[in-house]
Amino acid sequence: MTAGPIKDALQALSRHADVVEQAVMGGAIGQESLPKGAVQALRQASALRAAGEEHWRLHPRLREYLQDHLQMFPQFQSLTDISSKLALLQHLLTDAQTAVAERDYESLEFQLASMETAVYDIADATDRNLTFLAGMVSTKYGNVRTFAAKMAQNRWYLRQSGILGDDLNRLGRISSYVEKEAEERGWPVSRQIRRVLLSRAQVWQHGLSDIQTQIRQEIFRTRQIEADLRNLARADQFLAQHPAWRGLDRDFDAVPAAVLRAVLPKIRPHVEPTDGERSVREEMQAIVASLPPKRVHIQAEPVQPLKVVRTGHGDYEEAEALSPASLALRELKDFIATADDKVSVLEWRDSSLSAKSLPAGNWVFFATTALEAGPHRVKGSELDFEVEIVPNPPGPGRRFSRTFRDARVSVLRSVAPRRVESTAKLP
Amino acid sequence: MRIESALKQLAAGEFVCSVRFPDEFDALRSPEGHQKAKEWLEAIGYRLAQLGEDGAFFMAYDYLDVEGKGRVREELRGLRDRLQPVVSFLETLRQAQSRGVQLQPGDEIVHSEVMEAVRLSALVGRRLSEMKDVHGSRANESASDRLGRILDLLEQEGYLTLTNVNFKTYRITGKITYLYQLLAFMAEHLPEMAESSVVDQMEERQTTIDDAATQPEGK
Repeated sequence: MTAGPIKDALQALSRHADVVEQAVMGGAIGQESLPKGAVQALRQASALRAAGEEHWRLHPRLREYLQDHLQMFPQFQSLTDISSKLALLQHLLTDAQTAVAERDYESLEFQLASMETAVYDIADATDRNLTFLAGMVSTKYGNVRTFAAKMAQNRWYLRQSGILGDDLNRLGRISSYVEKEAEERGWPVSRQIRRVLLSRAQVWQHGLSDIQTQIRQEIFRTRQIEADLRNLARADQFLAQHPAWRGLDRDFDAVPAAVLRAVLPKIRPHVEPTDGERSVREEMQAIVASLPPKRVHIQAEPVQPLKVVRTGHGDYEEAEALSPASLALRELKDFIATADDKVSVLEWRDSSLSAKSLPAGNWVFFATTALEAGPHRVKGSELDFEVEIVPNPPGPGRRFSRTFRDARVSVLRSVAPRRVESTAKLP
Repeated sequence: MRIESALKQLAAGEFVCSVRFPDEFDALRSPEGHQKAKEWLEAIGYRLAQLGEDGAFFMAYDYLDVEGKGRVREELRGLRDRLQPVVSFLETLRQAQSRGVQLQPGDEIVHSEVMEAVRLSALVGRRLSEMKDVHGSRANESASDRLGRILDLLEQEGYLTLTNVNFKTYRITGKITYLYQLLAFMAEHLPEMAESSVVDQMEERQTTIDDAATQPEGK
């Protein structure tokens, strides 16, 4: 074979890589979905095979090569056959021995070259099979979508690994025999058999053994899962069909481990108050902060006799600290008591320092409310005041106003002074 | 810190598995943590137990005293109350899953996927709507709400753990192995749960129809 046809075939594959990809992923492809010229070019490269009248599929070896390259394995792929390659090796050995006997050295050279290729093919195929099996068992679903399919797949690979085990045994036996025969005759293929096959046979054997163990464990596990799900379904039906059943009311020698599960009462640790550790101190502070406030017991103080002072008007007044508002009110009352006309509370405010200490609105409201709640004791007599509210003008569209800005006050009537009972003594 | 947290979970009666308590599970699997937990539990009269080889850790009685025996007997006596809702919900989930379902620790349950399966199967839809023991369910609520309530309940019971709030994705915890152990125990000791004794409802219905068909008219 010259380089020309190989290059042509590879170029055809490269030009129509989309079609090749489609065929690898999807299987048979219809004539209508193929670009013009693709079928002819790929047919010439032997990459397409007819599948029916209007469909095409990829050459199986090409598909296999690409799947190997991509590590993409179908659900139930068979392992690459090694036994036929071993049979070929054995057959080539016989042919080589015959060629030696017949002194046909040209044929001998060809047989020995073929043997070398067969040795490498056997090693490659064994490596591939082991890689493939290891990949399948290490993936949970391995290209299958259902649990049942996974179980079937596991059984399939266990069978396949058994076949591979037989092949490895045969490989050891045949390659030892061929190596011994080649060694006796001084053929270089003996060295290759030792290096490529015999030195790795034990590693392959161990690898396969591990894989088989793993597959068996997986199968055991899938059986366990199957049993679990079966028990679940049965228990569901049992509970539905036996509504009066409450539980197992008898003693058992052995119970499932999980039934022996114990639960401790909730652990309730205490904080040690004297612990100086930062986190504990912070926790303590948080606890203290969350406590309700301390209830304060106020002891009743003995009642002190009222202190009476004599004022300039000859009245007795309680010596108490008055607020500016109270002082202003007292001044206002005195002023109204002596006034001839009604007094504007707001206007009077300007004449009193105490009253000016309050905002105007507050003062008007305070004074009005206080003056209405009579009677008031002013300079020894009790008076009632007439309070006339000065409302704000009503808002636009309204007839009445709900707010006021001032009050005009005058003395309504004088009330007879009440007798003040006091135990206070003059100093 | 993780081993302390693991010990607290064990003491609270939780099943410490790799799905629900990954850090605590790792702590208990490490030789040092394992030894520490073992010693601590033994000192207070319990032992560290595990569900299977890689299953969840839990605190078990070291020996059964009178109180322990009483508790075990009580647990077995009241199995129905313990199992009924969970078995019923999980069996519905199993039937609802269109893909092959295993209901094993670590398996994912997505609300929307189960809902899709419920929509496709009238049988599962009816089963879901007729299900009792769904706390707080209303007669007129949608199948989706009902399924959400069931998944929440399984989460509260410790059989599921929520892994994605937005997509309502749950994972089955290691506690489910506890359930399977109980069911296997029941199957072993209850002759009524043997394969031949559990009457398949479909077959029963079929038999009734067949019987009716073979009855002479007017009888």
